[in-house]
Amino acid sequence: MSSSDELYKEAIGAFGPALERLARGYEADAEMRRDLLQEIHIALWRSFSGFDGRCSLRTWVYRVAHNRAVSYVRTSRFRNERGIVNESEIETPAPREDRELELDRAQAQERLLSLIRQLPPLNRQIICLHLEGMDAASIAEIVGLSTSHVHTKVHRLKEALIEDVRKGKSHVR
Amino acid sequence: MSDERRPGTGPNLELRELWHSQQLEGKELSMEAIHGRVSTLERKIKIRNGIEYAGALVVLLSFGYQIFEGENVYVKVGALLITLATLLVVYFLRTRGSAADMPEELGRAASLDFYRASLERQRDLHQSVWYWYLLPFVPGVAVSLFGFAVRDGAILNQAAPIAERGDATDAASILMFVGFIAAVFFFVAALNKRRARKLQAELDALEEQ
Repeated sequence: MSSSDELYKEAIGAFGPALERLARGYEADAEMRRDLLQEIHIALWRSFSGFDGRCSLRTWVYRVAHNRAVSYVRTSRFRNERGIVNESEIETPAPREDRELELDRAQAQERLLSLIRQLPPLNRQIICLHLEGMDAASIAEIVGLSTSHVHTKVHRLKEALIEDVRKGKSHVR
Repeated sequence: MSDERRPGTGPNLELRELWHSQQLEGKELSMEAIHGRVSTLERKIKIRNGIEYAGALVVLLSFGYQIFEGENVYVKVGALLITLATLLVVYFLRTRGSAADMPEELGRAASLDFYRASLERQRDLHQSVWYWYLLPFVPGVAVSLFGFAVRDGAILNQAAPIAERGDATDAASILMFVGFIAAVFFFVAALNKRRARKLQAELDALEEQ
């Protein structure tokens, strides 16, 4: 087994589910999401021939995955029709007469993912990493911003998402 | 542990909970499948490169033939200039490989740098299309057209008068052809300029984030 194989296995063992969640943050269509995930896996395996240990395996994996995903989104002919927006421009759902009916968990998840997919690539990446549970310093290393900048962005993005998911799902506090 | 990550601290936890409780397919690719798909991808890259080279070779062969067999010195020089322009464009494209051809770059570069560099590279490519794609062909095309006009007697009166040659090209036809070529060049340039503007807008948006 080559060192690329070993690194790949280690990476997938540790971050496989995170990569699948990441793909959901970039692509809504299930079939295309599978393609994207496959492309990420292939890019990851190919990238390991150049892995020199200067950053952690986690940082490397997330960089490859997000960079590949952003390229995919930019070149995809089937982009999200609504395009990308700033966090301040995230749309609020129109009032519905049956608003009192709570959306179930799956709908809340879909709403969250839909909102994330409307964000510009960098913001999308930051919020995905934050939701994975990473701290601002780790996110900063992956995306290439200062820790304080990431912290500010996470705060703003989170506020916008919470506000909007709350409007669509009353039990989100 | 920060407040953000402490259990029971409100909306942030709920967002993370929503995020982590997504139903995943959990399908893993075997090592054999990964190797197979990498081979397929690399084969596709080779085929794509091969098609590019084959296209360039067709141009080189047809114009290379004209270098030696052209009807007059202008046609020969024009063919030589077009051959050189083709080589220049092929070299330009080959020295600017896409990120898909350099997988390790995906992991080395922080995302912001990678994204910015990728946008800048494409913007520059589109913005400078006159210099690396269109202008190099202008001298060759111009000299070749001049050579055809000379061959057909429309210019310099070296050959039989046009009226005496059924297959001849008159000055008006040549002018129309020059106009058509110029229109194609300007159309290609306008498309590229538009694309460059869009990429610049993306870059501006990136800097504002």
